[in-house]
Amino acid sequence: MENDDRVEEEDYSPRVKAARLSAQELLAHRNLDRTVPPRGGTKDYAPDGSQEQEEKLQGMYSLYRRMLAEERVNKIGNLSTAIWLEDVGLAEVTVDKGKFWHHIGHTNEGKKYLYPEEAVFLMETNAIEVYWNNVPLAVQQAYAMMLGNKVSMEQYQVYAHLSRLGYILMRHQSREHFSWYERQIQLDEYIPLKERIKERSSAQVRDWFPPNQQEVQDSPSSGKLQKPGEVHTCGDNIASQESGKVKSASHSPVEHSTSNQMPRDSFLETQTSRNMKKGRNEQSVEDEQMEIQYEDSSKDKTENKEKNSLVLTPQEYKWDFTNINIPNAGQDSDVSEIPIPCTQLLPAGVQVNSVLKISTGAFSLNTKRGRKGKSNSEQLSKIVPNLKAEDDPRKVARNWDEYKKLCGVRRTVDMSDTPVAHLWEGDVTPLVRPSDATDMGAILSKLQVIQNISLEKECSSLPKPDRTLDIAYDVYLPDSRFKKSKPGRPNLRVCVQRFSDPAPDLALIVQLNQLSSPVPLLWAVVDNGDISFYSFTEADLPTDYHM
Amino acid sequence: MIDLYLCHGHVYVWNATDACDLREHHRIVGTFVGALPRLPRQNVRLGRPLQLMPEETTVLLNKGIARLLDGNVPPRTGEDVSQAITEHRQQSFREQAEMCKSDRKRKLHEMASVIAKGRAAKRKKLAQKAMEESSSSVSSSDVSSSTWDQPADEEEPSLSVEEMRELEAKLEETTGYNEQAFLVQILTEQVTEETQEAIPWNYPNTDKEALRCNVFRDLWEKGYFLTSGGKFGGDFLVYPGDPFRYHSFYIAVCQQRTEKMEALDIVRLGRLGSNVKKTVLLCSESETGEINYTSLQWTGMN
Repeated sequence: MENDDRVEEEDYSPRVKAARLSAQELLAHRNLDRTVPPRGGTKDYAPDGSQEQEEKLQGMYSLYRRMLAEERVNKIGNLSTAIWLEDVGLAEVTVDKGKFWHHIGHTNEGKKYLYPEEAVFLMETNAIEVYWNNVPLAVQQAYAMMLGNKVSMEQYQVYAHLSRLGYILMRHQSREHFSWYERQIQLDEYIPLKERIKERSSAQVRDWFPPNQQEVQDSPSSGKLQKPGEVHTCGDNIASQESGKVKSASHSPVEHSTSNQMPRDSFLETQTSRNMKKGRNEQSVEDEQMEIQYEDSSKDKTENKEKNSLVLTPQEYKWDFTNINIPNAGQDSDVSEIPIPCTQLLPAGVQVNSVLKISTGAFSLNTKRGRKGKSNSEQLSKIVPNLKAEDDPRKVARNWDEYKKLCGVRRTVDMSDTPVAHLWEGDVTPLVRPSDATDMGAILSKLQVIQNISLEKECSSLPKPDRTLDIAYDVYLPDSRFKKSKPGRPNLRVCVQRFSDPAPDLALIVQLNQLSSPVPLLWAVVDNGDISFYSFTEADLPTDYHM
Repeated sequence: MIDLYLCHGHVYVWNATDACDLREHHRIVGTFVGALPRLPRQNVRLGRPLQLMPEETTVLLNKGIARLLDGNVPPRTGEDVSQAITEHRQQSFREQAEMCKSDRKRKLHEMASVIAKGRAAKRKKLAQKAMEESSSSVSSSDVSSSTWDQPADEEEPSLSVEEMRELEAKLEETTGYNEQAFLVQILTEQVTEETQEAIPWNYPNTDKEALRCNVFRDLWEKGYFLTSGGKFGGDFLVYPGDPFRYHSFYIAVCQQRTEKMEALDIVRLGRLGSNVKKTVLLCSESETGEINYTSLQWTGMN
């Protein structure tokens, strides 16, 4: 192959480094043999110096020499163009040809941008030319300039590997903008993240929900406040806010950080209005004290009295919420903490030393667990394991009295007519009583000293993982109906690791699995160019109830 | 001298000839990590760059086979550079246009006889039609005989010189200069005009890395081909010949001489080896610097 001599290495190499192809070579690239030698096929056992083996090997070598030397050649009309912007770390697309925009790239303020890994991948697949300072970059230069900073080489390798197979990869956005409840009802898959971020940062919304640390005195300076009208119901509250009426009355969302009292009649209103805001605001489950935001509901009085003052007088409130703590037993958090009550309220001699953590996430009936989803009856049978229809008091009893009697009967333990009654005389008693021998399930449930726990429910009791790892990509199966603006739930998520990195500890595995659930999470481990995929799934050991 | 480029902590070989020479002449295999230009959307065969293990780099640098260059040097830019590139492209387009045209001309000449035959056949048909119309009263047999009376073409029909010139002129007209149809190349390896200085290679840094390097070097000097062994739970895979044609015999696991091994590790490695039909080699370095190998084999009791 004749190479244009543009470079001559004086010191070291007598031969010329490959350079730009001549026109003849470019034209020759139109009719390339587009087959690759397949992987697999029988290999020989060991080298035996035979001619046959040598020929096969040389054949492979010469094929590789030809294949590797081929270059990426394309018509200008088929190539898109992009400009690498170093400061933002993105490539801006100036000319868009080809079909990659369907699943690659994003727009920002009317301009089209590509992430560095996307741009390099498109370069490698001969779809785009990336310019930097009016000079087209070679793939070698693109690797050096565009990768390595925000996108590690391993991450690019995983991206390229999966994209070459046809998957659609999008960078994983953390789902912290959606509350746990919204994720549970899968609202996060319907509201695109961009809209949510825009929504939360818009000025209007900011004024509805001022930041928590705002002082009471700061409220006048928060610009145009939406002040609720003279209403008592929450629906009207929202309606008036949306209509944008600004009243000069002394209504302001006040943060209860000082020991303010609140009128009892308005407590219900504020709770309900707060619950509505909860649905929009990000939940901070780690808060030990309840941060209560409420509207000043004694609007009638204050509107008439102090029209221009924005500060609420402290003596309006009768209850001191710094000392009274109502724990959040709702279903929006897995764990809630009951703080130590003040000693005056405890009986004499009783001491509470530590904060009590209660798990309220036991009844997550709404979460979709895919194929492992359990129906209601299955859930109930787990709670009451040895319940048969004819024994179930709820089904058999015809009135309340019967029900109580049946429940009572079940609780007594009848030890009179067993030959082994002597075993219960000492301190150490057997786990299983003869009366329990109704069926296999009853016995097994008594014997199950080591309970199976679900890691997702118990993850709060695990120590914090010793390092952080980000989920890198959301993976979607190739689909012509895929929309970048509304991708939906990904089929997989991938996080990238090096082979030389330490293996993840249990806390990290559980944390990432939970972040990613119900979508399966794959760990892509890159060992010097080789990629292997691993996944950690919870396995349920079977307990047979029906023997 | 083979050039290796250090880029973000990894060592790459970008030149195709260098990559092939490393394998054929120096038994250094490496891993290809880029897309193959002839078929970019598959993972069976990848193309340049060739990524080298740090141990491979160490061996090559120590034996003087290759030199390490900085891969992060940005390309030269400026008015003159962009100008030169644009000029080169325009020149390339002109050449491509010329070549396309001469290609078409050559094809035309090749097809000359076919064209001539076609034209002659057409003429015959037209003549036949004219005759049929003029002598409609003549009987069919007469018509058929008359066609056979035409002077037989003993020589092959060929285009006359004027006809050829006419066709060539048409060709000149129709061949346009559509810039969008011209081919450009996305370079894989950069075109460097300045010579670069070699940079130092800071590996190995820890005892573990040093052990791996020494084991690699020792096995390589014995004539084996070595690749990374992460997929098989070891440090290296040891091949008797080129991995293209042979399976690996050994999984080399580097073990510090002073570190304790648990029985569980031995069982794990033994099981692994027997499942994949390879022998596990435990490699450690003695005090004198000699590498000692212990192989694990799963046997039963007789």
